[in-house]
Amino acid sequence: MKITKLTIRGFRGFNEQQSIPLDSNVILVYGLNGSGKSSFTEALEWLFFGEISRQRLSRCRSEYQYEEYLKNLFYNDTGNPFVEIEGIINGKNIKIKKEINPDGEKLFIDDKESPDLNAINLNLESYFRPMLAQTEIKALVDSEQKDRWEQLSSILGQDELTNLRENLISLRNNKKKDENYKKQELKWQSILSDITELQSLSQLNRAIQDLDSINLLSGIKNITGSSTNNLQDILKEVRIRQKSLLNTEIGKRVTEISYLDAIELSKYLKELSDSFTKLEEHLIISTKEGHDHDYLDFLKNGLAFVKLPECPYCLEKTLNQKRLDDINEKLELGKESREAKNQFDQLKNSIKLWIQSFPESIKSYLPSQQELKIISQKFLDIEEAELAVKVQNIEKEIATTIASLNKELKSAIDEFHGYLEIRYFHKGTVDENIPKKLSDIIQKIISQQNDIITKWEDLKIEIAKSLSITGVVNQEEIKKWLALEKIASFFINAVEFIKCASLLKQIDVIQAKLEQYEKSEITRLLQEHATEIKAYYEKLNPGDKIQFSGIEVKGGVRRQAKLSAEAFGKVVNPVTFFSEAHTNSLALSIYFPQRVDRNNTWDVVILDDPVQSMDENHSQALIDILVGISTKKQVIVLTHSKSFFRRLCARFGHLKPKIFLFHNNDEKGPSICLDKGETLSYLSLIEENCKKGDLRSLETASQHLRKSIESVCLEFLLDKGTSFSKAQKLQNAGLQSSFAECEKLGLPASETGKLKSVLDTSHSDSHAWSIADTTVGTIQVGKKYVQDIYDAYLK
Amino acid sequence: MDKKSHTSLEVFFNSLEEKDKELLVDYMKDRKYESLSSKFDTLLKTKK
Repeated sequence: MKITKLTIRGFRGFNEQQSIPLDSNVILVYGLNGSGKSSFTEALEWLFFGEISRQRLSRCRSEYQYEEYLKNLFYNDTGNPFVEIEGIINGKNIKIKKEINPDGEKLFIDDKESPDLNAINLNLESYFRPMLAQTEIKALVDSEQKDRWEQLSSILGQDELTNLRENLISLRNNKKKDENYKKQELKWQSILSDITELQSLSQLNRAIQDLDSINLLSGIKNITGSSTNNLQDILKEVRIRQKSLLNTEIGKRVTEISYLDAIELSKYLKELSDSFTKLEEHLIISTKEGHDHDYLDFLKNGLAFVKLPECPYCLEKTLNQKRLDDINEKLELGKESREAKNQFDQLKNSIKLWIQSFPESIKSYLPSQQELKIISQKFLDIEEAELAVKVQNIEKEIATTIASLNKELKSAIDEFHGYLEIRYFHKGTVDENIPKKLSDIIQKIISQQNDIITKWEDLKIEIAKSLSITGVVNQEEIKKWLALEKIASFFINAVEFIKCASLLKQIDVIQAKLEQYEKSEITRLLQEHATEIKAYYEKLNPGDKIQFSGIEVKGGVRRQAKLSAEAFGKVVNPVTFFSEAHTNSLALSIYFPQRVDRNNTWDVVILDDPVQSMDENHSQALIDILVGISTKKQVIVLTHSKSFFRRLCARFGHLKPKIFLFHNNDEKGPSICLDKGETLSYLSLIEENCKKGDLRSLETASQHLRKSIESVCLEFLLDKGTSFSKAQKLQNAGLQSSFAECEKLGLPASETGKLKSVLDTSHSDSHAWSIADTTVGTIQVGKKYVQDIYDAYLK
Repeated sequence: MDKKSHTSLEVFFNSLEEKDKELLVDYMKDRKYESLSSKFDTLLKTKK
């Protein structure tokens, strides 16, 4: 396909409708940054490929919202924004238009609405994109290896494989996000961990990991010895077996619960009662009247000195025997009273502690609530709901009894402590009913406890009858059958999950194969392109000591494309080592073999700012390549570089390029002028300056005339096939050489003679030839001679 | 029209086992993957 006209309205940088005639084999566009050049390329990209590279390769893709980035910000006309091209496909004229419609996009082929571009029979695969956008060139080298892989894959036409891979990944992720799937997956993981612990089920491990129902069924059949092929029936058998084992286990637990009976507790309480009697006895002794302990101490100490009946010094009788016996008796009684008091204190403290620990001790005489909970759950597991409820009831009764008695008991104990303090220490008046109150509560507890124990003993008999307890409990066996039940139930109930998990496994296998295939394809295609890529790189970097070596790709989940190069004999990484110009030329070298040489679909190549920061040598080499391409395809080049643009104009001059100047991009869009070419531009400038008529303007006009003569000679030489470098050399050698070469190539000497007639040729160096006379007459005559040559040979 | 890309996809698709091919056709029927689904469907039918 060849493009002959592009019309844009309200798209990207274009606001007002603009038509750009592209009916030339070479289209050159010059414009400063932001003048609308990229919008020109993007219009074509969007029209044919439905997206723009800037958005496709952006690292912040989500910020490109439909309306915002395609529609011109200032466009407020009533009609829809659109891009339209006129072109030629297989010799037939065609018109394609795409509108940005509020409801989406509308496509028209030859003014008829069409759902897609299939009718034009054009390969619209992205690897045949005829345009090379700035973003594509910039992003190829300076990107992460995985992103580079994707770009390479796209360049080499493997988009559909990449697309398929992305779809597989997205399909898998969506399935995995499903809440139900996640829940079932957790169950599955828990079964896997059960199995790992049980050696006896290790043979099922593989089948469960693979979610392989068939192998699982045969595995379970081996273990159970079942003859049925139905998982549901096997599950029933598993449950029966499991119930029998659990009966044994629960039975064991129930009978193991043994408790002290009420008599035991009564003994305990009798001890308490005896303690109270002792306490009373000690109290009586310790509080006997007439025992002044201070006085008794005094006597005891005094007697240590005065124990003889006569004084050894005065021989007078100090104590008679009766008095001494009286004193000794008093001392003996005082000693007993003191000991009784100590024992009273000890006993009182131990009673306090004993009573404080009483509520806890009650609990230990009743069945453990925790144990009853386990038993009731086990009954539920084996579907013995009635027994489970009975056990639960007893457990609840214990909880309630303990809670209420603890409260009542605590308050009675507190009251009793107060009684002890006042009655025995402060010898105050107390309510003598308090010990009885405590005693009654303790009796009540004992009675209720006895009730519970009786109920539990009855229930134990009922449980024993119901379970018909037999055999010895084997924990490993119980775990095995419980796990078997879990596995069988899971495989019966999680059909959807198993289906989904199998699908995901299948997707994994396909993805692995796809990645392997992708890698082999990219490697093969890169090998095919390798020579051409290197050749392009060498053309763009003639004689350079920095040479591109190749691209190494790695496949699999982490896909990478690594570039390598050599600089002065050393291996270097182009990403970190190359200058921007080298990077740019490397990207172009990778693109050209596919997008240009192997692209039989498009008869056009569109390059948006291909030189970036290339120097004169690089850009000249690129122009030479473009000249080669222009012999086979229409070439459209857009650039912001003035020097590159001038070189392009000069080099392509003989091919009569259409030259456009984009400038002043404002809210109305770019202002686009068709440029007349260098010679004609000089002639216009001469005319303008002659009209002004002042001396200074005439001087300028005379200089422009001199330049127009040089330019017309250069264009003539190029038109006749002289290489650009040779034509430039001739120009540098002076006008004499250019005239001679022009004559050699067919420009009559009469024509060069006319040109010479307006020049001052008296100087031997033709560089110094200036316009002989800076009068309006001479300049106008000279202008006419140049115009005549242009019209006759170059128009 | 150049057939290279189609050939790549076709070669890959044909290298898969029948159950994998059917999966690709079935699961790509999701609206999002419509174009791939119809492509695979055509390939599967052509092969059969």
